[in-house]
Amino acid sequence: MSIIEVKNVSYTYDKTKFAVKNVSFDVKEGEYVAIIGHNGSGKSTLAKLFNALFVPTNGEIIVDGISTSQKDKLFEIRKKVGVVFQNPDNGIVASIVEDDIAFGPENIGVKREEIGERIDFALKTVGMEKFRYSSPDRLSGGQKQRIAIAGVLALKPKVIVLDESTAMLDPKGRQEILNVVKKLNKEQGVTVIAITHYMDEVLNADKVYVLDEGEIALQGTPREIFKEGAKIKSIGLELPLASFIAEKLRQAGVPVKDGILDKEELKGAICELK
Amino acid sequence: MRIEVENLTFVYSEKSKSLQYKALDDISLTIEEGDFFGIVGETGSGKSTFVQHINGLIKTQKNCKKFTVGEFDLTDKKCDYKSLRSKVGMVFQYPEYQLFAETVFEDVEFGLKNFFPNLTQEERSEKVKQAIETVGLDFERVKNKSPFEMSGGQKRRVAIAGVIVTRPEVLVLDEPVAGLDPKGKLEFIKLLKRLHNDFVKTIIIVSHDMDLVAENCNKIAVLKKGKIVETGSPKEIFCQKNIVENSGLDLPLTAYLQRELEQNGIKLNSDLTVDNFVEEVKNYYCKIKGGK
Repeated sequence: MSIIEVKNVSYTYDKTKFAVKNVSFDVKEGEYVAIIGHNGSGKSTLAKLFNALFVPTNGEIIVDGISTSQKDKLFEIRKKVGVVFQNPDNGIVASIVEDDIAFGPENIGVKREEIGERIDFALKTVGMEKFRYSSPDRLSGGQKQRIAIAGVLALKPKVIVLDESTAMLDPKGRQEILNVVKKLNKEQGVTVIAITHYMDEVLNADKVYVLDEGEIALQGTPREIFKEGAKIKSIGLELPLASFIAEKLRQAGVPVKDGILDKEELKGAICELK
Repeated sequence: MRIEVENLTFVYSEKSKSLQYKALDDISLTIEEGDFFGIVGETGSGKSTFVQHINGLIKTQKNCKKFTVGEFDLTDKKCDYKSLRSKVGMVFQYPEYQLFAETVFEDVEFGLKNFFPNLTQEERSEKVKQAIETVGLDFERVKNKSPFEMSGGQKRRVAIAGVIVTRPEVLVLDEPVAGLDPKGKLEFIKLLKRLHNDFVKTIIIVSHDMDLVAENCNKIAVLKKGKIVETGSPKEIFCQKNIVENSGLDLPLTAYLQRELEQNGIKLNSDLTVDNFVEEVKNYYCKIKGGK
């Protein structure tokens, strides 16, 4: 079943140029979808359309049966779709971590006792239990982002949209968040839409959409996408570093095989030279 | 300017027993003039706290034995911070959030006006033009534009122009490529290399991106929980497995491959830059092919 239907959606900020142009796709319940594109390709605009922060200029987005243009259904839509943005500083509202996480559930009328449980769950999931009574402004960037993700988890959304939300984390922190997201997706069936520059985050996805100038330029599984090396480059994206090194090796006359996506495959290919 | 640090410890909220937090713990370190120096470590390891000392945004606490940046003594209360800050440029995480002026020209000019109020309008214009061109933007085209109309990568360039306009000798960048798309990142790294060759003598970057650090830095310091675990060349740091794993860091791809290949009986000895790694694999391939 589709949890999000994007139907011929366009969006313009200034009525002269469209940031998103006639985009259509479905996201199935429980799917892990990645959206990639260079800066200014329209991917963050799209993120804001999923939970009705923006309403399409043309076309329609249906979230679990509700059109995002129905103004009286805003709360329902935002209960279903939680967005984690790039910069956690812009999303922190309270001076104590637990209050910050409680803010969302309080707003949608969750009972007091249950809010406590949700805070426990959310902090545990992101590995920040120790910081429950800390002040968010005393945390590092990566820690703040984990609190922001916990704030979304506390709403128990059906869909989580990650708008480049791992960009400020260190590799270990990033991997932890990716593991959390993967776990939520696989074990609890939460639908994930990851908007990212990181190619290794794309590799986790069931389906990838590549945006260019507001339009879908490529779609498919990660492997299908990265076969299109030349096209990826022409729209301002780069192949994963392992693919890049493989290409350089070929240029230098070392015959490593085609279609290398990650470090394990590259290692295998070099070993095979023997 | 050489940077010398001995026994630097820094405690946040020093006076409050319940809130105090030791961010830096007995750091000693030398950064030579001309270094492209990388500071790495997991979130909360003290990297940002350390670099903010270098231009005096955070003042040294009493127990610091030595902290000099060129001729500036940062443990001295009378240190001329204004002059120091014109020589040590600081580019924060997401510097584009600090853009504020109506035009690119005014934004870049701001620091210059503050540090060198005695310059004439012509002298200022000339310096602003040079800074904007150095970061790879077309001066005539962007000077009257609003910085907020520009793309993410361009905004970051404007922000950097606003820092290098005072001709600092040391440029400190905290997570310089975070949030840039892959193409923006590549262009930005090229810009840093160009700056390092022609414009600023010493570059210090704080980064989580080990591939970036291995490719560009000649020296790296690894921080963990406020302490320095190790300093050395990328090869020294990343080819000693335990340093990296104990510090919560990833290996750069080249170092990972080199380690794994060695376990498979293929010994490569690159300096961990991509080009050198490719060269090493090529040599290996020619050798086995020649042997057959």
